[in-house]
Amino acid sequence: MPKIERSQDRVYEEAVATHGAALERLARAYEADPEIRRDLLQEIHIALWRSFGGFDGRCSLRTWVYRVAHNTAVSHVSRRLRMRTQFFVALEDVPELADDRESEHAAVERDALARLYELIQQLKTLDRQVMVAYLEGMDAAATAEITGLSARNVATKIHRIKIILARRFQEGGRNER
Amino acid sequence: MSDESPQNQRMKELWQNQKTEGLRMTVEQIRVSAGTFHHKIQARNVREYVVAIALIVFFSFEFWRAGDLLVRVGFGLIIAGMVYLIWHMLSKGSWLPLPKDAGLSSCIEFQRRQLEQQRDLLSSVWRWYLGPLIPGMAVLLFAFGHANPGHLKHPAFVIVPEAMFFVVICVAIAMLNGRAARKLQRQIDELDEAGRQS
Repeated sequence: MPKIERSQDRVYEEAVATHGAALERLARAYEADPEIRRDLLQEIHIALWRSFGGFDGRCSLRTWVYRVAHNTAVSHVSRRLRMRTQFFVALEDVPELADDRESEHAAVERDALARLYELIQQLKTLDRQVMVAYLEGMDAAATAEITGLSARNVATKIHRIKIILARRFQEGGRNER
Repeated sequence: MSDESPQNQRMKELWQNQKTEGLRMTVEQIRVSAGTFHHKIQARNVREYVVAIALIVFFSFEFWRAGDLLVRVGFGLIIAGMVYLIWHMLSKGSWLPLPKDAGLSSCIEFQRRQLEQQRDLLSSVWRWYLGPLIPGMAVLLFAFGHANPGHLKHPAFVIVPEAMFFVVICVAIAMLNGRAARKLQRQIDELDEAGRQS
């Protein structure tokens, strides 16, 4: 196997080991349908693997991973909008909804997470990207580098995100909507 | 010290600790998938133009059935126009794999390029969508009007109203696309503004 491909594979494996779970969360921020989300996630992974053939370290691995993932997801959303496909919950996914037997705490957390995704999926693309970065714990500088927004703009958006989250998700998971 | 409220800190933890399934694919599987991905994309793009393809089949049948030379020329021109339309959409308007250097573009830059591409497509419908169909439609209108004037004394009484109807439809399509292009331009301006503020 050529040296470049070995390096491409190695960087890809490193990226997946570090950011694999975050990529899944990102895919869910863009796509509500579980079946299509799996396709999107696979698409992101393929795009990442292909892109690492040209990764030269000009930006950090994290910035590269998030840019490729967001850009792939944006293309996906644009395509879906054009096709105007309808989303229905499949029977197989019903267990993901609240279950009477689970603890109250788990049910509250599941509900909060579902509402959080619902909120994120309604946002404009850039706001969604900032929201995901915020929830992943990135600082304003890292978010600005990934999105291309100015640091000041990111700070303003994060301030608004904090207010929205505080309003919508009260302590204990009560919903104020 | 973090200025994060306990509530927002809890939301971050909830987000970061949620259960994920994990994509169970080895590098070898990714490599194979990447190889077949291009064909999958092409098949998906072609599916998007199924109506246009069905129309080409219909017009081909009419072309073959038509006895009048002028009608045949009209259908032939329409088929050629539709083939050009599909080719243009597949090469300019369809989804293409992400470029390998996608990691060098920020999200704003990438979105801007996408929106520009869509805007240009919408604002040039006369060139690639309506234009290529006009010669065929014009020939067909003339041929039908000439061959079947019905109870009217002069073919122009048939041709002119039909031609006007066709022109109105074309203008309406162009205006709707122009409005959509202006909407995309506003989104591009918003992105520029968001990236500029400092």
